[in-house]
Amino acid sequence: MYPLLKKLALLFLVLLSAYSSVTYLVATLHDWNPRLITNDGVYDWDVRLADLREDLPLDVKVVGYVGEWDVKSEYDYPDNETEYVLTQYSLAPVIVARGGVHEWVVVNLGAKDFEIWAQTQPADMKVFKYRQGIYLVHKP
Amino acid sequence: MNFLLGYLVFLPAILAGGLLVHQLWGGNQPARLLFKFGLGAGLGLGMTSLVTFILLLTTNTISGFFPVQLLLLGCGLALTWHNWKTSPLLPVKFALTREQKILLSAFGLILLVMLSAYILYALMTPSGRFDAWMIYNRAARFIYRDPPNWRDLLSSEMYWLFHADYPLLIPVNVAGAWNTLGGEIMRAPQAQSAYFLLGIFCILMGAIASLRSTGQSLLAGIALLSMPVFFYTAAREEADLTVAFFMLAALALLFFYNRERTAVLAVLAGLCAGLAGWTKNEGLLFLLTGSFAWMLTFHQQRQWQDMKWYLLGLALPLAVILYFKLFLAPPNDLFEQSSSAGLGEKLTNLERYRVIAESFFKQIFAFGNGKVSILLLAVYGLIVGMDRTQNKGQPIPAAASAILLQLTGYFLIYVITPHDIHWHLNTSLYRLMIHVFPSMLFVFFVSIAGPETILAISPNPSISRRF
Repeated sequence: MYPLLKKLALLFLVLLSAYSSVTYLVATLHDWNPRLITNDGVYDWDVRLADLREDLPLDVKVVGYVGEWDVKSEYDYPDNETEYVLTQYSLAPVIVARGGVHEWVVVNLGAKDFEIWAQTQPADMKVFKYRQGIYLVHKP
Repeated sequence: MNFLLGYLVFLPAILAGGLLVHQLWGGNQPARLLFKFGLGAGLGLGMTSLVTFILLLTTNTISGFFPVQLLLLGCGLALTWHNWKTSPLLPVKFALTREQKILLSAFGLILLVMLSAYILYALMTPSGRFDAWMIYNRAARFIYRDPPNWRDLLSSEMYWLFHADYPLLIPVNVAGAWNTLGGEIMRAPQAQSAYFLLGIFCILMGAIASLRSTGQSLLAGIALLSMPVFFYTAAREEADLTVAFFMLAALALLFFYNRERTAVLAVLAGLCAGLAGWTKNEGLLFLLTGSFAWMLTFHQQRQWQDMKWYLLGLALPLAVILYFKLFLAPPNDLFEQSSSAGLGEKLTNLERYRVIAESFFKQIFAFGNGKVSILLLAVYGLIVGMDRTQNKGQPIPAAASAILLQLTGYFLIYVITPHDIHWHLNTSLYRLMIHVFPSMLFVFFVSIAGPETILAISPNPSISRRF
């Protein structure tokens, strides 16, 4: 191969790498949001579940979890998955198992869906209601 | 302040690793020191995790993390002090050619730009991303928040999505760091990821500078810098850089062993392969593929007697992994949810192979999320050509076969996955590419002609001692 072509290829690789890094920096600057430094979605979810965590007795090792994916035929899978994962992350070291069969159940549903789900549950269950469609249910 | 504390809490392990590797394998040429520092950083973190885990297992406390680091550092410092004259730590003098200085300047500038982008992105990602909350930091919270009952994190009641069977290199260190810092400082897991990224750069560049030339090492560093995926993965606190680190280290050590036939290099490589397995299930596959590459080299060089040294390095991590997998961890979702009839059906379904192959090709060509792609590097390699003189006798086929086997293993896992194939590919394939890419880059830059050859200049004109 011609020596000049090799030299040009070398130069091109270095320049393209430089260009690649600058475009990445520009894109990151474009997305810059100082609120996220302290309050990202994980922090917000931790805050959302703070009261629930306090109400949950300390000796509870496993709770159930009911979300839209348990009561609706059509739901946003990534949203459901993310909220479930964040709930487990927030409540650790309590295990958050899928489904509503446990004595204590975290329910993440809108008011209407919660009413429909509650009708399928024991009448004497105790319900703690929190902000933004979060419930803690105790089934004696 | 938390940013700084997150980095400082791992510093003893990193320094200890660097010092101990230097004591085990001498030489103070700048490139070799760079390699040893990078290798030591990862090995220090890995060894700390292993020993802290053993203490957690036996005492149900995580407070051993920092004393273990200090103990390792104490050993490293004592040996360095004792062997100061025979194994000096200060690098020998070296000088660069004009062309190498230009490349170094380009590397420095690109590094500055990428570092700025990393810091901005890391600041905006204080809790990492999905895998961090789902797997590693979640497991760390189980350990940190309730050490006496830490085994709950391995409960079979844990939904499969959380991968409760994953090995614990990262979570043990994160829980230990939180315990040392007295709170769940989220910058600590981010710092650990950043150290592994730093280690990848040091190993890649140190090894290539030692085995080839300074210019080639700087070019490889520039190519890696141009790939944003490595920087945002570090900020996201995922474990993939750690697997990539140990894969690269074990394969780079193969080249040094090939040249020096020093048994300690086989010990270090065995340790690296084992620690890859202690990081993630994909690392367990590397235990096999990496060991295959080493066995191939032992066979070709008729050095089977050194196999015992490789196994010695592998022994501790392998023992911990076996205990963890056999007696503690729940079954893996990929195998638990598969029936033998379903497996047979999947293995004979050609459509699955087509879908996976298509995703692999797309991922390979788009990998890096930057302007420099694998395809572009391949074209570059074709233009500049292989360095046939230097490649003679190098374990390039052994290293390349380990990478290919690793990719084949990943491919087959997708074939038999019980999960939706599209979902599985979309959510994991780019991370699997992260595991192998630094090793691919290393083998690539070790094989092709370097800038010194292209520009017809002397590779190391005034380094005081050639190595």
